[in-house]
Amino acid sequence: MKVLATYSIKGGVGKTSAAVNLAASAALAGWNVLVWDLDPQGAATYLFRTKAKVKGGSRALVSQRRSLLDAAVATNVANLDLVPADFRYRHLDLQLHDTKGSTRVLAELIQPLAGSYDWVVLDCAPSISLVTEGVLEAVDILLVPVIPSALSVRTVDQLLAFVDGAHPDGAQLRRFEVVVFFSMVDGRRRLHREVLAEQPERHPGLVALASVPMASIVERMGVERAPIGSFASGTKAALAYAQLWEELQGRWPDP
Amino acid sequence: MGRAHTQPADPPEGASTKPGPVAFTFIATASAAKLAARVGGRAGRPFEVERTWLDTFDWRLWNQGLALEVDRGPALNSATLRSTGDHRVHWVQRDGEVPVCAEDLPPGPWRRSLAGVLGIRALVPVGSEQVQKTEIVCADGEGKTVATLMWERVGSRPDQGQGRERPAPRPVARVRLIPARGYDRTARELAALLVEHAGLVPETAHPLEQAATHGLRPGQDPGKLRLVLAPGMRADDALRHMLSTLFAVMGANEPWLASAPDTEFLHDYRVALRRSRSVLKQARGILPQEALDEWRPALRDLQVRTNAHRDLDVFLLEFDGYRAAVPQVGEGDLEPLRDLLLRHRRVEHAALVSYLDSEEHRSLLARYRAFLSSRAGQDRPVSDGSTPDETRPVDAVAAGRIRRAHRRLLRSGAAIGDASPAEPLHELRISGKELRYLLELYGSLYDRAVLGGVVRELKALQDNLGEFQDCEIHAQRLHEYASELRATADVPTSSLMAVALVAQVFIDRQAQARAAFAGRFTAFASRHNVRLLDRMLTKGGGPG
Repeated sequence: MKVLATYSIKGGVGKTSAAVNLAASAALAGWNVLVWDLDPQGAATYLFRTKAKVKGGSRALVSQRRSLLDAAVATNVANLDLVPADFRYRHLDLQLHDTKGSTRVLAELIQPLAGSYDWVVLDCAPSISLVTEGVLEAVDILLVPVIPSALSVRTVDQLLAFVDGAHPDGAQLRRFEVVVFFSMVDGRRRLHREVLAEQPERHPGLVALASVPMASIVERMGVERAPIGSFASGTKAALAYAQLWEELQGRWPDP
Repeated sequence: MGRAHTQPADPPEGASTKPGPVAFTFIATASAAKLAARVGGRAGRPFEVERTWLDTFDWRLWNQGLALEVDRGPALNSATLRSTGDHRVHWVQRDGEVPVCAEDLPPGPWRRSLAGVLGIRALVPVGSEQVQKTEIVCADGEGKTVATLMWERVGSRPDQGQGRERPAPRPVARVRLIPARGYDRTARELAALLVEHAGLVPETAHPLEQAATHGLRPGQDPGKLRLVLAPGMRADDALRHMLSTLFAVMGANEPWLASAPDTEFLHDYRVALRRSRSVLKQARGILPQEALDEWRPALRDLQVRTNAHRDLDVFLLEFDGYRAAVPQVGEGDLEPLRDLLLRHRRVEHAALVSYLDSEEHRSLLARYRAFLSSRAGQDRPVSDGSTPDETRPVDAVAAGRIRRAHRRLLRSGAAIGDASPAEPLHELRISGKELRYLLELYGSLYDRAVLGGVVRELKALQDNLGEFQDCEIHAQRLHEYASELRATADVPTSSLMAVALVAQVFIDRQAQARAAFAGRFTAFASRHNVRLLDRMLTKGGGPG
């Protein structure tokens, strides 16, 4: 089992779209996939047409009275289950703070899923918090969407400084890998094109080759309430997510 | 060579897999459209699929409570693993290749749930039916699917019933209610509604029980001997019954020898053949001498045709073990040997398939079948004087035959000392096999618990003798293969040395088995074990 989290300090950069579409691509490829919507706003939960409610809320999960397997519900995509968001997740930080070994709690909740799922995808809220530290303890792959602008690229450096700083042994012994991909790319903008051309070469292995275009069809997911592949499979955006998935699958062929 | 000592497969990783919620199956009387209207669901367009159930020939999935269902049609290609009892869906795979062997299982759900179950055996079709499916989706107010009703009209069942009578297939509609994970309560309510208001009747039997092909019955290993003899039965009838049962085992496996999805079809075929030869060997005075003179050499010749093939199967099954036994050998050094074994096996396989397809073999089978069917009744052959024991009760005959074989084994074993050559040990192995077959063939006449104890002791001795002889054969063949490889220009010296090292491993193992023989035999021949056998034969008593 591999645990992948879509994460960014900034909001509105395409985390949830990436989580939902990559999870759907993985499920379509035959893997058993679980998405855990950790964002109290519950955008992924909404896209999967599911009620944003977990019995007992985040407290039941943090106290491990309720397992993620019990909380998982099926989605309309075969092989893809969801642990829905719950508005009570906004207290997750405080609840973790009050729990012994707070940064290990999420990892401990996820670990028993290994017999049932091949991929677990965490859709994280845009913040740096105790939940983020918990996510970093749990993940194998941290997938970071970035808009190809100078300022956004700078946030990647900040993020790397944070994730490496969070680990006492630093980057060399960090147990997860960071993959950055460019999101909301506007091919008409010269700056986007330039960043796109130079960054993968400057950061081999860190920056994915596939990038996701700025496209209205991605926004349409909110209307269709389904992964893009379900209603617009031939579009550029759908192909971009499929390509990104292929790239991840190529690096981690046997989760 | 006996059954290969392959490494056990990975433990069943699927043990912790959480399947979907309990599903329900019903016999439907309402049409799909009516049903959809009743549950407020959306019915899709009907589509045809050919459904095939896959399992190992000895039903390893079924015996674990699993059924692997593959639907193929213009609109759908899917594989679904379900529980047989509560029909829970473990996983669904769309548009993928269906693997055959454990080693081909792709990572993910297939490997997680099946690697530990398949072991040495391959997935083969064990049942089939034509199905017209209509999917009825039941969704909540958000458009989220909470359950799926699959309405299935079952049509003809192609390729079924070889060797098994069954009534002509009658089209039925089956409804499967598959709840989405997390919506169990909704599904239970829906199930109650279907029964109370739509007239659906829960289906009690699993569909595969009707749809099994090739004369198979779910859960019953066609390679396993199921022989029940009644005390007092005429000896000649009992022997013909044994031979007919063994012939049926051969017949179940023979159609698979050409495609050979796994090695165990040939293995089980050979075991049934070897047991048949053993029955014939013990049949003097019971079955006509003329028949014995014909069938003993005929079955021996048939067995000989399969020997080299089986030896090569065992070599290849154990190949990965060779590498582990000689860790000093470089990566790839043993590959020329593997290629050579595969080449030889291809040749042996082609020869066997060609023979099985020949008029000579078909004629042999027809004549043997006729011989076996000439039993009690008008077609019983007139005694030619060679069968004084034909009417004796089988239990009396069995006890005599078993005692004689046991005495011979004890006598021959006791004569083997530390300095004895290999030959008497090989002969002792054959005597051990004969006693083992007699115990198995006449086993239904005796107390099962005592019989189990006797067989266990004998098996421990047989394992030792088997290891001794198999290692000798392996080492000898490896030297022959090394000579063959040496004659090939492009085989590197490192590969020849690797083969020699593997041969040495077998020579060492053979020496260890030889050293352990005396202890094993003493244990087998202990007074306690001799009494155990004697008590079993004296007491009889049928299955305990």
